[in-house]
Amino acid sequence: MLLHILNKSPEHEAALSKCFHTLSKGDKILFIEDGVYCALTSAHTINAIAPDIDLFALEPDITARGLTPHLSPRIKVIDFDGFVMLTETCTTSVSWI
Amino acid sequence: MTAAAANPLLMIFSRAPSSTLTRDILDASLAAAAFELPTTLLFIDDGVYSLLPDQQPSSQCAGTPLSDTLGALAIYGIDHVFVSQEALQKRGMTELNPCICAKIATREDITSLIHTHSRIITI
Repeated sequence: MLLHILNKSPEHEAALSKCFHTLSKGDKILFIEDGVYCALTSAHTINAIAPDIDLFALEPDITARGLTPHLSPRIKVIDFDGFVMLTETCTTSVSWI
Repeated sequence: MTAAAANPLLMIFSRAPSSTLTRDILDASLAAAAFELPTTLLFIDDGVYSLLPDQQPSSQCAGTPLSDTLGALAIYGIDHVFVSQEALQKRGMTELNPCICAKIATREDITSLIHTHSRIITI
């Protein structure tokens, strides 16, 4: 079970496609920094992700960008403690840049 | 017409507000306007995220949120602020920071802006 960490907005298609093409069942994706723009209702990117992939976004990065009202209902919002717990529950984590 | 008025400046914001370049081009815009250079701002691509309301200070995005500084544009005499309609639609953005009077620009408007400004800075 892999934790994919994404810090780029949907505008950066290269990072997103690297991440999305390597997903397998049970993996999790965490959106941080500008990656939280991928977690918006309007971001078509996440609609293409299989439902068995859990999606998370980091709360401080969401509030910094004023995105709280615009988040997709599929996203679980976590804080830094949650971030640490995610890395503990996953066997490996990979940051896509 | 003065030399400054004949050389209007177009600042194109195309990066997310977390980019330090966004802060830099905003500072440059305010400095230019303070020297009475006619300055126009244009927000395209991820630059439109700068216009979202309720951005909060954070450790990562240092200093005051960009949206607060943008509220001061009118004080500096920057009245021409445009935002790409295409970029807003692509991001499903309907709500903009009420402190900023941004005009919606179509693709044709943007082409026209680029052709009517003699100096253009893009980030």
